[in-house]
Amino acid sequence: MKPWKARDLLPREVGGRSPTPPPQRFDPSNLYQYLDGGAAFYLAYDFRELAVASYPGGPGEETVVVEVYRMGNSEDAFGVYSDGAEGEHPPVGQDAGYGGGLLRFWKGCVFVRILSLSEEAGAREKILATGKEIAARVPEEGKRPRLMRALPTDGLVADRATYFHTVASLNHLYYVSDGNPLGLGPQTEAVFAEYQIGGHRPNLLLIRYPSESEAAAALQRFEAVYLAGRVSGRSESAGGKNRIEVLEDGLAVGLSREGQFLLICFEAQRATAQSLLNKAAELYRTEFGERKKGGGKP
Amino acid sequence: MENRELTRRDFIRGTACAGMGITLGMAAAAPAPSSTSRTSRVVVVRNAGALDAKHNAQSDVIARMLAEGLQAFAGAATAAEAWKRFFRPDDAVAIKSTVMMTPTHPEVIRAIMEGVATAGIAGEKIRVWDRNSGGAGPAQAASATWTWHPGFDANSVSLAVGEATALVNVPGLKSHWLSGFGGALKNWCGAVTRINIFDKGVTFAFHGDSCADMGMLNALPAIRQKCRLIVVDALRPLCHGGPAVDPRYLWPYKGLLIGTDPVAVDSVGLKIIQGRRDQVRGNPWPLSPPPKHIAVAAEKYKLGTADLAQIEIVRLGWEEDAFV
Repeated sequence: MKPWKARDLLPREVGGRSPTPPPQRFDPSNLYQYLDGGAAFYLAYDFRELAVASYPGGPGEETVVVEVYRMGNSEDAFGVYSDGAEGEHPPVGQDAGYGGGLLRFWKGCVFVRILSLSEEAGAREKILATGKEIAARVPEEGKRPRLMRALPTDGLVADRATYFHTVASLNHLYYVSDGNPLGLGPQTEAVFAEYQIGGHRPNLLLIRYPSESEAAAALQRFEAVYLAGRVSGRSESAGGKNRIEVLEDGLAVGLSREGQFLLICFEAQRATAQSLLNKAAELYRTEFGERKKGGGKP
Repeated sequence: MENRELTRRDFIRGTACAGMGITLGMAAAAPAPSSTSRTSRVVVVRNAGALDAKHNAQSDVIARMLAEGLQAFAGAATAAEAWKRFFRPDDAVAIKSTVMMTPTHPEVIRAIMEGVATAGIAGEKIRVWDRNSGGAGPAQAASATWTWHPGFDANSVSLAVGEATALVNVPGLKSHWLSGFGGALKNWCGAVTRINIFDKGVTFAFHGDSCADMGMLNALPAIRQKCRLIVVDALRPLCHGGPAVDPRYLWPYKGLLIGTDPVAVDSVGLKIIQGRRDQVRGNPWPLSPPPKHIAVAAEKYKLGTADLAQIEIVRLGWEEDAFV
């Protein structure tokens, strides 16, 4: 496949107008110049480059801003997209979300934002057409992270499952603690998902570490920090693997480990926590078990 | 609050930042009812006509809101008298705006410049800037017209700060991906250089633990001693994500927040953002990460009052969905 850059995907024109000023390119060293304070969001993934172009609107129309983010792999392009994927899903790229003049989509190792702050009737069509034009230029489709398949689907809230790597991303999705007791970083894969089960809204955090020893150490650190003052106990019903603790708000936190895979359930009823942990562990074994070893990240 | 390692469980138990109303949507302690004298005042002034149907800012309405709000904040008989309580004719004033992603509206900057001028200060001595660009006088209220590049001193602080005798802090109200919340305390990030999110080789290391030590910038003597006024642009705030804009989470609050205590102003702004988030989802949707930097600014840097029970909130104008 011929090498390509993010800039190659930018449309020559939008609504018959060329970009003004000329498109700009940013890499990890200077992304903050475009996204002061917001660069960290993309740098938490394997960000490689951004191409940005502003296309002036006609009389009475808003400028259309196109941002093409090229990531190091398709899993991370999906990850950026998955954080904030709620809303209408027009058929653009491998998945897309649209609302209020903003189109976000991913395809292959590319994540794209197309923004027009116009609420005029024609703006949506113009933005979607621009998105489809860009998506058609992305050379190939990519893979969703395999870890997403370890999420139980019963009760999973639509568009609220996010793939990520770092503790900053986790604390943005769901604040757990200061510091980094779970040892999250570029080397770890993680998914955070929201559920609606029986009038409660439990959350499930799944993390895959490079090694079993790292997963075990992370579990130990997390228990020491988060469950300080509690006597450790494992659930007999789950073969001794799950630890379920009902906290001061009457809801349970559940912990489990399956080799290099760590599972934590927050804000659940005790039985729900057991069930979610067991189902996720089973799905994980199916996806990453001995017969399937050797593929995917990390 | 010590600058120690907190966990979600501290919030569940209501032992972290509870007075600020940061509860992560859980059953933490609500602020105590007011019974003692309050230490900080914040004016929240709103007008349903501040933005038109296409969200364009209305200069005349905004100028009136600012005058009314400042007068109430100062307890002055007129707006002109109020401005004179903050600025002297021999002042050189620098207004710290924000130009990134959810920028301060130029109409707000222009209204402030015109108000400051009523204290007898010449237009060329009233500047506005962000990072290393700025302008002087109402004609350069909008960043597109800026030609001034103030530079930075040996301590990585903008020379706009050093050259001014008085500062006005004018952030936009927003949620923030890394710090949870962006307001008065965070706005000073654009007044310094040599910072990065990894805190490597920097002059000011504050990005760790969700920017908990953000208050170190407001605590710089030059900023702390010179900042006379805070005006938060809450015309169309952002309640989720940020600073990158997802327009689904912008909403026309059509307000300005006025104060002098950056911690109190941020605590009130935080309550507004949290109120909108809960309204959007229809159930508690806590800001994440919790904006710990506000409490740390109060307790470690002694920059003001974070406890809402100790803040006098003066509400003026449009009342619908005020959240405070």
